[in-house]
Amino acid sequence: MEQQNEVREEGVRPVAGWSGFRSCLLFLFGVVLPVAALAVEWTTGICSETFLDPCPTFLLKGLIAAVPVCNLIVWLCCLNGWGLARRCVRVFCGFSLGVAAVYTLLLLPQAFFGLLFCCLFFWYFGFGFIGLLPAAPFLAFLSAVVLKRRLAKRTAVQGLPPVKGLVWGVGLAGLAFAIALAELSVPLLGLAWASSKEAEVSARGVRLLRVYPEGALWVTRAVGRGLYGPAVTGLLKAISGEDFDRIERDEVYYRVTGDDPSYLSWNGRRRHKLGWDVFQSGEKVGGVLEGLSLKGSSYSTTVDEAAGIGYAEWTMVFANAKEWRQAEARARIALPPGSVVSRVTLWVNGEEQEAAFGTRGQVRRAYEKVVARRRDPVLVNTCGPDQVQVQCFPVPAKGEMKMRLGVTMPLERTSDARAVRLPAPALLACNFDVPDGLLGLPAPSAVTLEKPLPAVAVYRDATFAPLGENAIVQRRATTSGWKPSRLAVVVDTSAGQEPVRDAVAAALAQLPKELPVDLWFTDDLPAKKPALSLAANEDKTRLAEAFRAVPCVGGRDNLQPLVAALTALAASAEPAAILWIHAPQPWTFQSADVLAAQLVSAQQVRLYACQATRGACNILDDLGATPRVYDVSARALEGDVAQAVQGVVATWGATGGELVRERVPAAEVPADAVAATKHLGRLWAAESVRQTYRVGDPVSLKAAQELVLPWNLVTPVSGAVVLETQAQYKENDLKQAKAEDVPTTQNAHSVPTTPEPSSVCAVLLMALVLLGVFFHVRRRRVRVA
Amino acid sequence: MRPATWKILAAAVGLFLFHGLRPFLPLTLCGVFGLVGGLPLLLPETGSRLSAALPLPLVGLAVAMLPSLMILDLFLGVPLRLLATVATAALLRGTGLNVVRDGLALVVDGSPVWVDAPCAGVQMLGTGIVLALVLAQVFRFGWGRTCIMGLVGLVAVVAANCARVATLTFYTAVVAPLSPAAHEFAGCCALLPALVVCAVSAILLRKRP
Repeated sequence: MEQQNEVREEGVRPVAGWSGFRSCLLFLFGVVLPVAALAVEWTTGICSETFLDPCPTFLLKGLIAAVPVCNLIVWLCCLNGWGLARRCVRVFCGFSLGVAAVYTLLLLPQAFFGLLFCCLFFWYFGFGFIGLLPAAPFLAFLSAVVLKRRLAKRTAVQGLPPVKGLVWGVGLAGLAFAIALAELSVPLLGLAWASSKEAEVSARGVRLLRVYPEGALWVTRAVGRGLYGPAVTGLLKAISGEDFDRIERDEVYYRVTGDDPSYLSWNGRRRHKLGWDVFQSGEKVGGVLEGLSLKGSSYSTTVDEAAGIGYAEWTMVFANAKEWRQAEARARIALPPGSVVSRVTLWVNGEEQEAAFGTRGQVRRAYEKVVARRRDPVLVNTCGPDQVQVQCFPVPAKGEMKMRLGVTMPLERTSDARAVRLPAPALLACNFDVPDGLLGLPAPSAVTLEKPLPAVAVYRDATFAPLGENAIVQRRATTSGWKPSRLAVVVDTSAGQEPVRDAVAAALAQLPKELPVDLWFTDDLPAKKPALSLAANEDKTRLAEAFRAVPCVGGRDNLQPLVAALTALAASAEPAAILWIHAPQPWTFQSADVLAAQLVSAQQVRLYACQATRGACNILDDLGATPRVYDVSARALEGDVAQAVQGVVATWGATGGELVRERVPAAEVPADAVAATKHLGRLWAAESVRQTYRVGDPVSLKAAQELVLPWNLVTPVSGAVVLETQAQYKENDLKQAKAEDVPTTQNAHSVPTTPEPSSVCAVLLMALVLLGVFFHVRRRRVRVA
Repeated sequence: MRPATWKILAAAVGLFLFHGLRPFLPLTLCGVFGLVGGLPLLLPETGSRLSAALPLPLVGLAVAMLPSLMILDLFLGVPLRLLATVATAALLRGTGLNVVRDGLALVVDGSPVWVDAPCAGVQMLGTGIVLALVLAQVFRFGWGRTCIMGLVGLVAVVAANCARVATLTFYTAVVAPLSPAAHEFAGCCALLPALVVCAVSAILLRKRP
């Protein structure tokens, strides 16, 4: 005892029972293990994936990190006798005790099972020691307790009076937790309010959550999951009175951030890309998949100068970098107004195969059947006005898939008919990566024609059975085009509009002066009246100023102001237009059927949709084949919203600018009509479908299908599918388009090539040369001899 | 009897290259390395001369008797077409024409001409190489001279193909499209000089000791 109490250097006496092994254990459980547990949780998120997120905020992360630091300080003080008379050491000790105690209570069940696991499996190559990780708070707490006693004993051995400070430390820990809980209560309250059915309370909650979106994500992760999920859900219900489920979570997430909720994982984490394709073979595009990208894109066009119609072919190559998973490439493409997809091909085993055209349901069933067998199909269907959705499966693991899309499009002509403008489709939404600059879609360009466009163009083909003795004639309209007398502009103020804010403002400022305009904004609260109403001849730059004053944040409900604007316009019998300038709408608060139904009945109103940033628009998807809905997003996505809007406005009331295509008996074709290509017939067929087909009417559906199927077009009533084998086509009662019927940008038979000489000629020449060599050698031998 | 050390080393190197290059090269090419490395082990001992143990012309002809044209077309088709397209574009620009190369197609003064698969000159290349190997075997060339013959054949035929494509493109785009017989004749006129160059090279090489 006297030896143990012997004073050593610096007057520090050793303490009984402080052996090297126990000291190491304290260091291990009090310092190393908490650091390891924090590092594992930070890198893998295993606790938050499985149970709950123990440190969703930086403050809580700091508190947890402080435990090993405080334990280390106290451990060093005990070992070396430093600071035994200082209060701060006790404060550190108390702080560590307080934090560790809270987390011990929070993770007590996990600690129990973890220690059990450790005891049972530690012998299996040390695998069982993983069980120590959930027990880290408990073991750190025990270590802190032991260190506290050691500290007191060491102080007593030194002959120093007891020093207070422990309670201060515990109090500080409690204060830190109180601040952390207060920080978390903000998103909790915001979430509870946001899920309320009352619009004003809900809007208040959304605005509160926008202040602290990360906290909102933590709360949504905690809802309904793991050990404490029911408690959090119950708390939310107690505050808001409403149940909170995953659908609510996605809606709140969209309203707060404006981001696509499909990027949220099942446990509420925001993924940069999706690891699993939940929309495979479905009708939605979904988010970008890991490993799937656009590897090649080429675009070529040709112009039928007789009819002023363009035909473009867009070839895309998809690549899948994943080693173990096939993928489906899906894309939504915005077509130029009035265009139609007239060719679809897929490269199967290196050979280009033409699509078969059938009814929408027929081609989708064929596609899904073949996808289930993991074979090679591609499907193209319309998904909104002037929009098509392309689906290709499978893009093989570490492989590529190539397809081609042919689009027949009417061209805009100049007033003197000597030039036309070549538009291009645009990629609206896709589930694959698109490297910058790879798309290769051309900017809109003007093409000068060799001769002015003829006044009348005709397409006839007596061998084409659906046409028979008739012809398709295209001529300029004699009456002036439709013109609205009132305009409602619905402008989306979601976060997705922020990058194009200036372009939208410019578009608003350039609206026609003579039109009265009602300006509606989307908001967190339902819009009951326009934000601004301008009479005819009032300065339209006020619209731009009003838009600039509104922040573009979160995700807003666009359907409600659209319905409100339509209701206001439908009250009058005068022709009216709604111009809807919007960001992607990955979330819909309710089905757009109510809007579709009102549009069908309000025949004097037209809806023009203009989306300037890439992404899916579920509202247009729901509108489908609703009449008098026009999409000008292809032009807006080219980069100029103002041009897209001006393009729409230019068609209002234009005299003689609109082209009319109709089927007439061959005898009635004007003598001065100039022969055009089959593209004229294709455009006529596509327009006739839009005029014939009425949503929900089976008779008009059948008539439209019978009209369009022989033309091999993708319309609201027909689609295209490429299958792998003839047997699959036969099984689904489909027939591939014949090679002579498909349009191309160049007729392969008419472009010259430079083939090499045939093998017979090559062998004969070789024999000739060998003969020459033989005679030469023989002559030399004779000479030498 | 234990094979010569160099044969074992060659086989080991061939095997290593076969396996080591598999992630990077097509399997067929890797197989060539393996074959070339392992072949000496199969041949009888004939002293220290490599050319006696492994007559390259015979080996080359044996490989040529396989469906090698298909493999040449698979691997060299597009590069040959690209070379022909680029060379043709350069040659025609030299004559003052407005030539635009669009991938493997040419647009000459607005008229398109495709350099597609039959224009690659793979058959011509195969003919040239076979002739070179035949001459090498007839004149009993060793490895060195056989390689020189192969190289000469390759260069001559590729150059002849480029000249052929340029001439035909010029005529087709500027004057008028040609008939298949005219294409055949032009091709023979281009190939014959290349084969003669091979033959002359073989005679010249034969004179050197």
